[in-house]
Amino acid sequence: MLKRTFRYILILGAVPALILLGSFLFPEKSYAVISILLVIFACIPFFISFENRKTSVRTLVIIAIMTALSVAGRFIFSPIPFFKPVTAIVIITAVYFGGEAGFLTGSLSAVISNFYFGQGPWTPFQMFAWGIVGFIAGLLSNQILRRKVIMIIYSLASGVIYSFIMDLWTTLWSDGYFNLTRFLASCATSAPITIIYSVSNLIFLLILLKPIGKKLDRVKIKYGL
Amino acid sequence: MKAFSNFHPVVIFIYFIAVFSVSMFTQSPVYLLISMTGSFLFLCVLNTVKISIISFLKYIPFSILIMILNPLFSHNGATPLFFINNNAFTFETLIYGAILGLMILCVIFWFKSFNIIFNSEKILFLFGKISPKISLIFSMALHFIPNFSRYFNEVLAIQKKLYKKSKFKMYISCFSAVVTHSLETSVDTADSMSARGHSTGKVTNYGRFRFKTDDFILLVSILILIILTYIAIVTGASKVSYYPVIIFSNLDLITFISYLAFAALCFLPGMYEIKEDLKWKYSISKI
Repeated sequence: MLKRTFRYILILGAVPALILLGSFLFPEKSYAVISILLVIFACIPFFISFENRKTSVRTLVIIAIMTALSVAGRFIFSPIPFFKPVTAIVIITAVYFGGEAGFLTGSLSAVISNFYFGQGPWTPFQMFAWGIVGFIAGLLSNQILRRKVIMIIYSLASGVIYSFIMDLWTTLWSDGYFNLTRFLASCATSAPITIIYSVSNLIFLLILLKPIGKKLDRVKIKYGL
Repeated sequence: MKAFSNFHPVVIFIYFIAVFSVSMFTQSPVYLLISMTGSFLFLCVLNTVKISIISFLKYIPFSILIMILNPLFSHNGATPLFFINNNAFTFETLIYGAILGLMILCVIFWFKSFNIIFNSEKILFLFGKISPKISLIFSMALHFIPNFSRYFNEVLAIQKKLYKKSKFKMYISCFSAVVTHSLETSVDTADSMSARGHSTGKVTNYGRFRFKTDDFILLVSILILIILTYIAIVTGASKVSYYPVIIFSNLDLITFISYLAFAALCFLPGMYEIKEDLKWKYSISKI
Protein backbone atom coordinates (compact mmCIF):
# COMPACT_ATOMS: atom_id res chain seq x y z
CA MET A 1 0.00 0.00 0.00
CA LEU A 2 2.75 2.40 1.00
CA LYS A 3 4.65 1.42 -2.11
CA ARG A 4 1.64 2.13 -4.28
CA THR A 5 1.01 5.56 -2.71
CA PHE A 6 4.66 6.37 -3.19
CA ARG A 7 4.37 5.40 -6.84
CA TYR A 8 1.34 7.62 -7.41
CA ILE A 9 3.11 10.54 -5.75
CA LEU A 10 6.11 9.87 -7.96
CA ILE A 11 3.99 9.87 -11.11
CA LEU A 12 1.98 12.92 -10.10
CA GLY A 13 4.99 14.85 -8.91
CA ALA A 14 7.30 13.94 -11.73
CA VAL A 15 5.50 15.82 -14.47
CA PRO A 16 5.73 19.28 -12.91
CA ALA A 17 9.25 18.46 -11.73
CA LEU A 18 10.31 17.55 -15.26
CA ILE A 19 8.76 20.73 -16.67
CA LEU A 20 10.58 22.83 -14.09
CA LEU A 21 13.86 21.03 -14.70
CA GLY A 22 13.59 21.43 -18.46
CA SER A 23 12.85 25.12 -18.32
CA PHE A 24 15.53 25.69 -15.70
CA LEU A 25 18.36 23.90 -17.51
CA PHE A 26 17.60 24.96 -21.06
CA PRO A 27 15.61 28.16 -21.15
CA GLU A 28 16.09 28.44 -24.92
CA LYS A 29 14.79 25.01 -25.81
CA SER A 30 12.65 24.13 -22.84
CA TYR A 31 9.76 22.72 -24.87
CA ALA A 32 11.96 20.21 -26.67
CA VAL A 33 13.57 19.05 -23.40
CA ILE A 34 10.25 18.83 -21.62
CA SER A 35 8.60 16.98 -24.46
CA ILE A 36 11.33 14.35 -24.65
CA LEU A 37 11.31 13.86 -20.87
CA LEU A 38 7.53 13.68 -20.78
CA VAL A 39 7.33 11.17 -23.57
CA ILE A 40 9.82 8.91 -21.80
CA PHE A 41 7.89 9.34 -18.60
CA ALA A 42 4.58 8.62 -20.30
CA CYS A 43 5.80 5.14 -21.21
CA ILE A 44 6.63 4.21 -17.61
CA PRO A 45 3.08 3.60 -16.23
CA PHE A 46 2.39 1.12 -19.04
CA PHE A 47 5.61 -0.74 -18.29
CA ILE A 48 4.94 -0.75 -14.54
CA SER A 49 1.44 -2.13 -14.89
CA PHE A 50 2.69 -4.85 -17.23
CA GLU A 51 5.48 -5.66 -14.82
CA ASN A 52 3.08 -6.00 -11.88
CA ARG A 53 0.42 -8.02 -13.67
CA LYS A 54 0.66 -11.81 -13.49
CA THR A 55 1.37 -13.13 -16.98
CA SER A 56 2.05 -16.71 -17.96
CA VAL A 57 5.40 -17.62 -19.46
CA ARG A 58 3.67 -18.61 -22.69
CA THR A 59 2.17 -15.16 -23.08
CA LEU A 60 5.56 -13.61 -22.45
CA VAL A 61 7.15 -15.71 -25.16
CA ILE A 62 4.35 -14.92 -27.61
CA ILE A 63 4.74 -11.19 -26.99
CA ALA A 64 8.47 -11.58 -27.62
CA ILE A 65 7.66 -13.43 -30.85
CA MET A 66 5.28 -10.71 -32.00
CA THR A 67 7.87 -8.03 -31.22
CA ALA A 68 10.49 -9.94 -33.14
CA LEU A 69 8.05 -10.40 -36.02
CA SER A 70 7.36 -6.70 -36.29
CA VAL A 71 11.07 -5.89 -36.23
CA ALA A 72 11.81 -8.62 -38.77
CA GLY A 73 8.92 -7.26 -40.85
CA ARG A 74 10.59 -3.88 -40.88
CA PHE A 75 13.68 -5.61 -42.34
CA ILE A 76 11.94 -7.89 -44.76
CA PHE A 77 9.98 -5.07 -46.32
CA SER A 78 12.90 -2.65 -46.30
CA PRO A 79 13.08 -2.71 -50.15
CA ILE A 80 9.73 -0.87 -50.18
CA PRO A 81 10.18 2.47 -48.36
CA PHE A 82 7.72 3.36 -45.56
CA PHE A 83 5.66 0.27 -46.36
CA LYS A 84 5.98 -1.64 -43.11
CA PRO A 85 3.91 -4.24 -41.26
CA VAL A 86 5.04 -2.99 -37.82
CA THR A 87 1.86 -1.12 -36.91
CA ALA A 88 -0.34 -3.91 -38.21
CA ILE A 89 1.42 -6.50 -36.08
CA VAL A 90 1.30 -4.22 -33.04
CA ILE A 91 -2.46 -3.79 -33.55
CA ILE A 92 -2.98 -7.54 -33.95
CA THR A 93 -1.04 -8.25 -30.75
CA ALA A 94 -3.06 -5.63 -28.90
CA VAL A 95 -6.36 -7.00 -30.16
CA TYR A 96 -5.56 -10.54 -29.01
CA PHE A 97 -3.47 -9.93 -25.88
CA GLY A 98 -4.72 -6.60 -24.54
CA GLY A 99 -3.61 -3.00 -24.62
CA GLU A 100 -0.58 -3.33 -22.38
CA ALA A 101 0.84 -6.14 -24.48
CA GLY A 102 0.21 -3.95 -27.51
CA PHE A 103 1.99 -1.00 -25.94
CA LEU A 104 4.93 -3.20 -25.04
CA THR A 105 5.18 -4.74 -28.51
CA GLY A 106 5.06 -1.32 -30.14
CA SER A 107 7.60 0.38 -27.93
CA LEU A 108 10.01 -2.54 -27.85
CA SER A 109 9.81 -2.85 -31.65
CA ALA A 110 10.85 0.79 -31.90
CA VAL A 111 13.87 0.38 -29.62
CA ILE A 112 15.03 -2.93 -31.07
CA SER A 113 14.61 -2.04 -34.73
CA ASN A 114 16.47 1.21 -34.12
CA PHE A 115 19.51 -0.82 -33.11
CA TYR A 116 19.71 -1.64 -36.80
CA PHE A 117 18.15 1.46 -38.36
CA GLY A 118 19.86 3.91 -36.01
CA GLN A 119 18.90 5.25 -32.60
CA GLY A 120 18.26 8.93 -32.28
CA PRO A 121 16.36 11.51 -30.29
CA TRP A 122 13.31 10.26 -32.18
CA THR A 123 13.49 6.83 -30.47
CA PRO A 124 11.40 7.79 -27.38
CA PHE A 125 8.79 9.37 -29.63
CA GLN A 126 8.62 6.32 -31.84
CA MET A 127 8.32 4.16 -28.74
CA PHE A 128 5.45 6.22 -27.49
CA ALA A 129 3.76 6.56 -30.88
CA TRP A 130 3.77 2.84 -31.69
CA GLY A 131 2.97 2.01 -28.08
CA ILE A 132 -0.07 4.24 -27.88
CA VAL A 133 -1.33 2.97 -31.25
CA GLY A 134 -1.17 -0.52 -29.74
CA PHE A 135 -2.78 0.52 -26.48
CA ILE A 136 -5.77 2.16 -28.19
CA ALA A 137 -6.17 -0.92 -30.38
CA GLY A 138 -6.35 -2.98 -27.21
CA LEU A 139 -9.16 -0.80 -25.90
CA LEU A 140 -11.05 -1.13 -29.18
CA SER A 141 -10.29 -4.83 -29.57
CA ASN A 142 -13.91 -6.05 -29.66
CA GLN A 143 -14.99 -3.49 -32.22
CA ILE A 144 -11.92 -4.09 -34.41
CA LEU A 145 -12.56 -7.81 -34.48
CA ARG A 146 -16.30 -7.64 -35.04
CA ARG A 147 -16.79 -4.70 -37.32
CA LYS A 148 -14.71 -4.33 -40.40
CA VAL A 149 -15.50 -0.60 -40.76
CA ILE A 150 -13.93 0.17 -37.38
CA MET A 151 -10.89 -1.90 -38.29
CA ILE A 152 -10.43 0.01 -41.55
CA ILE A 153 -10.92 3.38 -39.88
CA TYR A 154 -8.54 2.57 -37.04
CA SER A 155 -5.81 1.23 -39.30
CA LEU A 156 -5.95 4.43 -41.36
CA ALA A 157 -6.06 6.55 -38.22
CA SER A 158 -3.08 4.80 -36.68
CA GLY A 159 -0.83 6.02 -39.50
CA VAL A 160 -2.06 9.55 -38.88
CA ILE A 161 -1.51 9.28 -35.10
CA TYR A 162 2.03 8.05 -35.65
CA SER A 163 2.89 10.82 -38.10
CA PHE A 164 1.25 13.44 -35.92
CA ILE A 165 3.39 12.54 -32.91
CA MET A 166 6.57 12.48 -35.00
CA ASP A 167 5.77 15.86 -36.62
CA LEU A 168 5.12 17.34 -33.20
CA TRP A 169 8.62 16.31 -32.16
CA THR A 170 10.21 17.72 -35.32
CA THR A 171 8.56 21.08 -34.71
CA LEU A 172 9.41 21.30 -31.03
CA TRP A 173 12.99 20.25 -31.54
CA SER A 174 13.81 22.59 -34.38
CA ASP A 175 12.14 25.75 -33.12
CA GLY A 176 12.21 25.32 -29.38
CA TYR A 177 8.55 26.34 -29.21
CA PHE A 178 5.37 25.30 -30.99
CA ASN A 179 5.67 27.03 -34.35
CA LEU A 180 2.32 26.46 -36.00
CA THR A 181 3.48 27.26 -39.53
CA ARG A 182 6.33 24.79 -39.28
CA PHE A 183 4.06 22.16 -37.77
CA LEU A 184 1.58 22.57 -40.62
CA ALA A 185 4.41 22.60 -43.14
CA SER A 186 5.97 19.44 -41.73
CA CYS A 187 2.54 17.79 -41.69
CA ALA A 188 2.13 18.80 -45.32
CA THR A 189 5.56 17.55 -46.39
CA SER A 190 5.05 14.29 -44.56
CA ALA A 191 1.51 13.87 -45.94
CA PRO A 192 2.54 11.48 -48.72
CA ILE A 193 4.45 9.38 -46.17
CA THR A 194 1.48 9.48 -43.81
CA ILE A 195 -0.71 8.24 -46.63
CA ILE A 196 1.72 5.40 -47.35
CA TYR A 197 1.76 4.54 -43.63
CA SER A 198 -2.01 4.50 -43.41
CA VAL A 199 -2.49 2.55 -46.61
CA SER A 200 0.20 0.04 -45.68
CA ASN A 201 -1.36 -0.40 -42.24
CA LEU A 202 -4.69 -1.05 -43.89
CA ILE A 203 -3.28 -3.48 -46.44
CA PHE A 204 -1.25 -5.39 -43.90
CA LEU A 205 -4.13 -5.53 -41.45
CA LEU A 206 -6.54 -6.73 -44.13
CA ILE A 207 -4.09 -9.41 -45.20
CA LEU A 208 -2.67 -10.41 -41.82
CA LEU A 209 -5.47 -9.95 -39.28
CA LYS A 210 -7.45 -13.06 -40.27
CA PRO A 211 -4.60 -15.56 -40.79
CA ILE A 212 -2.46 -14.40 -37.86
CA GLY A 213 -5.58 -14.02 -35.74
CA LYS A 214 -6.56 -17.58 -36.59
CA LYS A 215 -3.11 -18.80 -35.60
CA LEU A 216 -3.17 -16.84 -32.36
CA ASP A 217 -6.66 -18.13 -31.57
CA ARG A 218 -5.51 -21.64 -32.27
CA VAL A 219 -2.49 -21.31 -29.99
CA LYS A 220 -4.70 -19.70 -27.35
CA ILE A 221 -7.21 -22.55 -27.41
CA LYS A 222 -4.71 -25.35 -27.87
CA TYR A 223 -2.40 -24.30 -25.06
CA GLY A 224 -4.91 -22.48 -22.88
CA LEU A 225 -3.56 -18.94 -22.66
CA MET B 1 39.70 -1.10 -30.60
CA LYS B 2 36.85 0.04 -28.41
CA ALA B 3 38.49 0.71 -25.08
CA PHE B 4 35.75 3.13 -24.06
CA SER B 5 33.09 0.44 -24.21
CA ASN B 6 34.88 -1.48 -21.46
CA PHE B 7 33.72 1.01 -18.88
CA HIS B 8 30.69 0.27 -16.76
CA PRO B 9 27.40 0.72 -18.70
CA VAL B 10 26.00 3.14 -16.14
CA VAL B 11 29.00 5.43 -16.55
CA ILE B 12 28.85 5.27 -20.34
CA PHE B 13 25.11 5.95 -20.26
CA ILE B 14 25.61 9.02 -18.06
CA TYR B 15 28.35 10.22 -20.39
CA PHE B 16 26.12 10.04 -23.43
CA ILE B 17 23.20 11.68 -21.64
CA ALA B 18 25.50 14.55 -20.64
CA VAL B 19 26.80 15.07 -24.16
CA PHE B 20 23.39 14.65 -25.81
CA SER B 21 21.67 17.05 -23.47
CA VAL B 22 24.06 19.86 -24.32
CA SER B 23 24.27 19.09 -28.05
CA MET B 24 20.53 18.73 -28.50
CA PHE B 25 19.27 21.63 -26.50
CA THR B 26 21.68 24.54 -26.74
CA GLN B 27 21.64 27.05 -29.52
CA SER B 28 25.14 28.35 -29.08
CA PRO B 29 27.35 27.63 -32.12
CA VAL B 30 30.44 27.28 -29.90
CA TYR B 31 29.07 24.27 -28.03
CA LEU B 32 27.82 22.75 -31.25
CA LEU B 33 31.17 23.14 -33.02
CA ILE B 34 33.01 21.64 -30.04
CA SER B 35 30.50 18.80 -29.92
CA MET B 36 30.77 18.25 -33.68
CA THR B 37 34.58 17.97 -33.66
CA GLY B 38 34.49 15.76 -30.57
CA SER B 39 31.97 13.36 -32.07
CA PHE B 40 33.88 13.33 -35.36
CA LEU B 41 37.13 12.46 -33.60
CA PHE B 42 35.43 9.69 -31.65
CA LEU B 43 33.85 8.26 -34.77
CA CYS B 44 37.20 8.43 -36.60
CA VAL B 45 38.76 6.38 -33.83
CA LEU B 46 35.90 3.88 -33.75
CA ASN B 47 35.66 3.50 -37.51
CA THR B 48 38.34 4.53 -39.95
CA VAL B 49 38.99 8.15 -40.89
CA LYS B 50 37.85 7.51 -44.45
CA ILE B 51 34.44 6.09 -43.50
CA SER B 52 33.84 8.96 -41.10
CA ILE B 53 34.66 11.59 -43.70
CA ILE B 54 32.39 9.91 -46.24
CA SER B 55 29.47 9.78 -43.82
CA PHE B 56 30.16 13.39 -42.87
CA LEU B 57 29.98 14.47 -46.51
CA LYS B 58 26.79 12.45 -46.96
CA TYR B 59 24.97 14.51 -44.32
CA ILE B 60 26.21 17.93 -45.51
CA PRO B 61 23.49 18.40 -48.18
CA PHE B 62 20.88 17.47 -45.57
CA SER B 63 22.10 20.20 -43.21
CA ILE B 64 22.21 22.73 -46.02
CA LEU B 65 18.63 21.84 -46.89
CA ILE B 66 17.55 22.45 -43.30
CA MET B 67 19.40 25.78 -43.34
CA ILE B 68 17.62 26.93 -46.50
CA LEU B 69 14.22 25.65 -45.42
CA ASN B 70 14.21 27.39 -42.04
CA PRO B 71 13.61 30.97 -43.34
CA LEU B 72 10.57 29.68 -45.21
CA PHE B 73 8.91 28.55 -41.98
CA SER B 74 9.73 31.37 -39.61
CA HIS B 75 9.82 35.04 -40.43
CA ASN B 76 11.40 36.49 -37.31
CA GLY B 77 14.52 38.60 -37.56
CA ALA B 78 15.29 42.20 -38.40
CA THR B 79 17.36 41.98 -41.59
CA PRO B 80 15.30 40.85 -44.56
CA LEU B 81 17.32 39.60 -47.50
CA PHE B 82 14.40 39.36 -49.92
CA PHE B 83 10.66 38.74 -49.94
CA ILE B 84 8.66 35.75 -51.10
CA ASN B 85 4.89 36.32 -51.26
CA ASN B 86 5.23 39.25 -48.86
CA ASN B 87 7.04 37.03 -46.35
CA ALA B 88 10.51 38.13 -45.37
CA PHE B 89 13.44 35.79 -45.94
CA THR B 90 15.65 37.08 -43.15
CA PHE B 91 19.35 36.80 -42.44
CA GLU B 92 18.75 35.74 -38.83
CA THR B 93 16.52 32.83 -39.74
CA LEU B 94 19.11 31.68 -42.26
CA ILE B 95 21.81 31.68 -39.57
CA TYR B 96 19.45 29.94 -37.16
CA GLY B 97 18.80 27.37 -39.87
CA ALA B 98 22.53 26.79 -40.17
CA ILE B 99 22.70 26.26 -36.39
CA LEU B 100 19.81 23.79 -36.64
CA GLY B 101 21.59 21.89 -39.39
CA LEU B 102 24.75 21.77 -37.29
CA MET B 103 22.80 20.56 -34.27
CA ILE B 104 21.14 17.75 -36.19
CA LEU B 105 24.53 16.76 -37.63
CA CYS B 106 26.00 16.69 -34.10
CA VAL B 107 23.23 14.52 -32.73
CA ILE B 108 23.40 12.10 -35.67
CA PHE B 109 27.14 11.77 -35.22
CA TRP B 110 26.97 11.18 -31.49
CA PHE B 111 24.28 8.60 -32.05
CA LYS B 112 26.53 6.85 -34.56
CA SER B 113 29.14 6.26 -31.88
CA PHE B 114 26.41 5.55 -29.32
CA ASN B 115 25.16 2.77 -31.60
CA ILE B 116 28.64 1.25 -31.75
CA ILE B 117 29.42 1.54 -28.04
CA PHE B 118 26.04 0.97 -26.46
CA ASN B 119 24.90 -2.42 -27.69
CA SER B 120 21.86 -4.38 -26.56
CA GLU B 121 23.88 -6.23 -23.93
CA LYS B 122 24.48 -2.97 -22.09
CA ILE B 123 20.81 -1.97 -22.36
CA LEU B 124 19.81 -5.29 -20.84
CA PHE B 125 22.33 -4.85 -18.07
CA LEU B 126 20.96 -1.39 -17.29
CA PHE B 127 17.28 -2.28 -17.25
CA GLY B 128 17.40 -5.96 -16.28
CA LYS B 129 17.18 -5.28 -12.59
CA ILE B 130 14.58 -2.53 -12.84
CA SER B 131 12.12 -4.50 -14.93
CA PRO B 132 12.91 -8.20 -15.28
CA LYS B 133 9.84 -9.17 -17.34
CA ILE B 134 10.26 -6.55 -20.03
CA SER B 135 14.00 -7.20 -20.26
CA LEU B 136 13.25 -10.87 -20.71
CA ILE B 137 10.91 -10.09 -23.62
CA PHE B 138 13.53 -7.72 -25.01
CA SER B 139 16.30 -10.30 -24.97
CA MET B 140 14.05 -13.06 -26.33
CA ALA B 141 12.95 -10.82 -29.19
CA LEU B 142 16.60 -10.07 -29.97
CA HIS B 143 17.21 -13.79 -30.15
CA PHE B 144 14.20 -14.49 -32.39
CA ILE B 145 14.92 -11.83 -35.04
CA PRO B 146 17.93 -13.45 -36.75
CA ASN B 147 16.10 -16.81 -36.58
CA PHE B 148 13.13 -15.30 -38.40
CA SER B 149 15.21 -13.68 -41.08
CA ARG B 150 17.04 -16.92 -41.70
CA TYR B 151 13.87 -19.00 -41.77
CA PHE B 152 12.14 -16.42 -43.98
CA ASN B 153 14.97 -16.56 -46.51
CA GLU B 154 14.88 -20.35 -46.56
CA VAL B 155 11.13 -20.41 -47.23
CA LEU B 156 11.48 -17.66 -49.82
CA ALA B 157 14.19 -19.54 -51.70
CA ILE B 158 11.97 -22.63 -51.92
CA GLN B 159 8.85 -20.68 -52.91
CA LYS B 160 10.77 -18.90 -55.66
CA LYS B 161 11.71 -22.22 -57.22
CA LEU B 162 8.26 -23.76 -56.84
CA TYR B 163 5.76 -21.03 -57.71
CA LYS B 164 5.47 -18.07 -60.01
CA LYS B 165 3.72 -15.54 -57.80
CA SER B 166 4.03 -11.78 -57.68
CA LYS B 167 6.77 -10.61 -55.37
CA PHE B 168 4.38 -9.09 -52.85
CA LYS B 169 2.16 -12.19 -52.65
CA MET B 170 5.20 -14.38 -52.20
CA TYR B 171 6.55 -12.20 -49.39
CA ILE B 172 3.19 -12.29 -47.64
CA SER B 173 2.84 -16.06 -47.85
CA CYS B 174 6.39 -16.58 -46.63
CA PHE B 175 5.77 -14.17 -43.78
CA SER B 176 2.67 -16.11 -42.84
CA ALA B 177 4.64 -19.38 -42.85
CA VAL B 178 7.22 -17.84 -40.55
CA VAL B 179 4.49 -16.70 -38.17
CA THR B 180 2.94 -20.16 -37.95
CA HIS B 181 6.28 -21.82 -37.40
CA SER B 182 7.41 -19.40 -34.73
CA LEU B 183 4.13 -19.44 -32.80
CA GLU B 184 4.23 -23.22 -32.67
CA THR B 185 7.84 -23.32 -31.47
CA SER B 186 7.19 -20.52 -28.98
CA VAL B 187 5.14 -22.83 -26.80
CA ASP B 188 8.03 -25.26 -26.67
CA THR B 189 10.31 -22.46 -25.54
CA ALA B 190 7.83 -21.38 -22.89
CA ASP B 191 7.33 -24.91 -21.59
CA SER B 192 11.02 -25.57 -21.35
CA MET B 193 11.39 -22.28 -19.49
CA SER B 194 8.74 -23.28 -16.96
CA ALA B 195 10.29 -26.73 -16.66
CA ARG B 196 13.55 -25.07 -15.67
CA GLY B 197 11.82 -23.11 -12.97
CA HIS B 198 10.99 -19.78 -14.53
CA SER B 199 8.56 -17.69 -12.47
CA THR B 200 9.34 -19.69 -9.35
CA GLY B 201 11.86 -17.20 -8.08
CA LYS B 202 13.48 -13.93 -8.88
CA VAL B 203 14.94 -13.49 -12.35
CA THR B 204 18.64 -12.80 -12.21
CA ASN B 205 20.84 -11.46 -14.95
CA TYR B 206 24.34 -12.33 -15.82
CA GLY B 207 26.34 -9.14 -16.10
CA ARG B 208 30.02 -9.18 -16.86
CA PHE B 209 30.43 -5.59 -15.79
CA ARG B 210 32.02 -4.69 -12.48
CA PHE B 211 32.25 -1.20 -11.13
CA LYS B 212 36.02 -0.57 -10.92
CA THR B 213 38.15 2.33 -9.73
CA ASP B 214 38.56 3.55 -13.30
CA ASP B 215 34.78 3.77 -13.64
CA PHE B 216 34.57 5.83 -10.49
CA ILE B 217 37.27 8.23 -11.71
CA LEU B 218 35.54 8.60 -15.07
CA LEU B 219 32.15 9.14 -13.44
CA VAL B 220 33.44 11.86 -11.15
CA SER B 221 35.24 13.65 -13.96
CA ILE B 222 32.14 13.49 -16.18
CA LEU B 223 30.02 14.98 -13.39
CA ILE B 224 32.51 17.77 -12.67
CA LEU B 225 32.85 18.66 -16.35
CA ILE B 226 29.12 18.65 -17.02
CA ILE B 227 28.37 20.80 -13.98
CA LEU B 228 31.01 23.31 -15.10
CA THR B 229 29.41 23.30 -18.54
CA TYR B 230 25.92 23.77 -17.20
CA ILE B 231 26.77 26.73 -14.97
CA ALA B 232 27.13 29.00 -17.99
CA ILE B 233 24.05 27.57 -19.69
CA VAL B 234 21.78 27.85 -16.66
CA THR B 235 22.87 31.36 -15.75
CA GLY B 236 22.49 32.39 -19.37
CA ALA B 237 26.10 33.56 -19.60
CA SER B 238 26.70 31.66 -22.84
CA LYS B 239 23.32 32.52 -24.29
CA VAL B 240 23.08 33.45 -27.95
CA SER B 241 19.84 35.02 -29.07
CA TYR B 242 18.96 35.04 -32.73
CA TYR B 243 15.79 37.11 -32.86
CA PRO B 244 15.30 39.92 -33.67
CA VAL B 245 19.05 40.39 -34.15
CA ILE B 246 21.89 38.03 -33.40
CA ILE B 247 23.48 38.85 -30.05
CA PHE B 248 26.44 36.98 -28.64
CA SER B 249 26.89 37.48 -24.94
CA ASN B 250 30.36 38.66 -23.88
CA LEU B 251 33.01 36.06 -23.28
CA ASP B 252 33.45 36.14 -19.53
CA LEU B 253 35.29 33.73 -17.27
CA ILE B 254 32.30 31.46 -16.55
CA THR B 255 31.57 31.04 -20.24
CA PHE B 256 35.20 30.37 -21.04
CA ILE B 257 35.45 27.70 -18.34
CA SER B 258 32.19 26.21 -19.57
CA TYR B 259 33.53 25.96 -23.13
CA LEU B 260 36.76 24.38 -21.91
CA ALA B 261 34.89 21.89 -19.73
CA PHE B 262 32.57 20.90 -22.56
CA ALA B 263 35.52 20.53 -24.93
CA ALA B 264 37.23 18.24 -22.41
CA LEU B 265 34.01 16.25 -22.09
CA CYS B 266 33.58 15.84 -25.85
CA PHE B 267 37.18 14.95 -26.58
CA LEU B 268 37.46 12.57 -23.62
CA PRO B 269 36.44 9.27 -25.29
CA GLY B 270 38.37 9.98 -28.49
CA MET B 271 41.53 10.86 -26.59
CA TYR B 272 41.08 7.86 -24.34
CA GLU B 273 40.86 5.53 -27.34
CA ILE B 274 43.98 7.08 -28.88
CA LYS B 275 45.85 6.75 -25.57
CA GLU B 276 44.91 3.07 -25.25
CA ASP B 277 45.86 2.52 -28.88
CA LEU B 278 49.31 4.02 -28.34
CA LYS B 279 49.79 1.99 -25.18
CA TRP B 280 49.00 -1.16 -27.14
CA LYS B 281 51.38 -0.28 -29.97
CA TYR B 282 54.14 0.65 -27.53
CA SER B 283 53.79 -2.62 -25.64
CA ILE B 284 53.90 -4.56 -28.90
CA SER B 285 57.11 -2.84 -29.94
CA LYS B 286 58.64 -3.75 -26.57
CA ILE B 287 57.91 -7.43 -27.15
